Amino acid sequence: MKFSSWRFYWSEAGQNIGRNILLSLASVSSATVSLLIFGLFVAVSLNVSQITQVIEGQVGVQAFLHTTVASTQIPALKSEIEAWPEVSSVTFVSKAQALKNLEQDFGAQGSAFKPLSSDNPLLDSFFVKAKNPQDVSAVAERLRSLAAVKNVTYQAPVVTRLFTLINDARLAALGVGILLALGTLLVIQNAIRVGIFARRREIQIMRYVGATEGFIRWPFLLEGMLLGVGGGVVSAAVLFLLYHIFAATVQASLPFIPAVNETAADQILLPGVIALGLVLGFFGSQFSIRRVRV
Amino acid sequence: MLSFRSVTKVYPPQTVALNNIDLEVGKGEFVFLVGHSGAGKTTLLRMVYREEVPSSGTVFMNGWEVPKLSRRRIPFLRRHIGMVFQDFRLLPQRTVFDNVAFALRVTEEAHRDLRRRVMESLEIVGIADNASKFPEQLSAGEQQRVGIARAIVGHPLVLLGDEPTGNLDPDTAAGIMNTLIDVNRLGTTVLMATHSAQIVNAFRQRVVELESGRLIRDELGGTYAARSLEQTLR
Repeated sequence: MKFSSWRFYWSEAGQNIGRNILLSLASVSSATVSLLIFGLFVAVSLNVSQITQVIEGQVGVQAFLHTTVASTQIPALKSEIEAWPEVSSVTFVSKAQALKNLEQDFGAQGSAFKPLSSDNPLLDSFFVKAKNPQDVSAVAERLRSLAAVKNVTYQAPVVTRLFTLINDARLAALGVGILLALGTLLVIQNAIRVGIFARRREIQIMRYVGATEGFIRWPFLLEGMLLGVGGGVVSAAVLFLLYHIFAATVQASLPFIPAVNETAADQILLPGVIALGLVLGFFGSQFSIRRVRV
Repeated sequence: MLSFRSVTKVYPPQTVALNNIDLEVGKGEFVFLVGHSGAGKTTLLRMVYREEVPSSGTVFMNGWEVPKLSRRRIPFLRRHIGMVFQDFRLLPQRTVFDNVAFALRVTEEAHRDLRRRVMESLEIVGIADNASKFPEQLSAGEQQRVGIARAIVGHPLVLLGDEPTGNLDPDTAAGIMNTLIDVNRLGTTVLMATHSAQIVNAFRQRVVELESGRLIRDELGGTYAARSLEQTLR
């Protein structure tokens, strides 16, 4: 294909957009909205999988020991629990260590715990991980029966329910994203149809003087892709801003939530949204061109 | 150059547009296609550029069997055919020059001599001075000249005219006819459908008459109406 043909396609596509500026803007905004929602879905998903991974690694049973348990008894107790078949690991967390962890988890606000270091109210504990998440409650029961154990906590059921809930929400967001993408497809398809209708005389003449089908179609395909990419770029810009604000806020106020690093998010999210816009635009115009006999 | 062999066209359910037409048109000929509205003139022209295919029989142009060409080949057939219409079919937002150049540009023949070729065509039809005007600034006759310039800029083998003088007053129509005759003298075969007895009688070319889809007369240097009828009237 010749360079001059491409110049022709681009200028035709540009003119079409200009001539139907309102419809073009409608297509771009429709693409923007659906891509934005889709992008938000991806951003939330990325973070949820990261948080899920981190939390899953933390699911275990915390067994707090009576203050009467002497430190000399600890190693024997530890090996006793380690010997249980359903247990994969046992970590001893001294009360001093527990306080230190708490301070770290709360980042800048962690210094609030400093006054406690002289009179630490926390308890020594074992952090016990089960080989299977299903065994967690059995392990918890068994730990509770030990004389040295004062109290047992574990979050497994809560965590599992939370994950189910988050997964449902993700599915719903994906569904909404897909519906909106279909809507965008229709809007772009319509914009191209109007363009084809507006240029029906030109198209007829092109056919009569021997322009190939490809030559006639390319400007419309380009137009559709431009509209889609336009929506993609706008939503990418909005997502970029939103995500950076979100990540900064989370890091400042909820440092224990491990948000996905911004550069990684940018690298997946922004090109993805723009590429999706391109695909939507391409198929939107493709459907239009197929329906109208060019 | 053009050859119709036993061409029949039936539109479902039972409209017979063309009925067993046999017609040969040699290279460089000028042929008037006459007959009432609905006699099948337009259908016959449309078979040449493959807007229609015969229900039976076949059509050859320059040795190519037109109905058998693949869809992909149709544009390349049409690059050898120029078309002129009753309603001119110019693009209002483009200048005269661009209307003519359009035919070259969209066939990807945008060579360096595009300007020279467009101007050459405009000179043949006599409106080179109006190259930068828009169609609406021209008279109907001038607009049709642009249509002819566009039809010939690709140096077609055949020029098809579907009532090209149908919208014009007699004097203007005669001017357009002279232009078409000029184009024909430059070597292009011309097949022109017309209603105008005045024109056919004035220019005395080969006349092919259709009636209800049948070819009823093929006469060199003929008149619009069959001679016998004309004589009867006298």
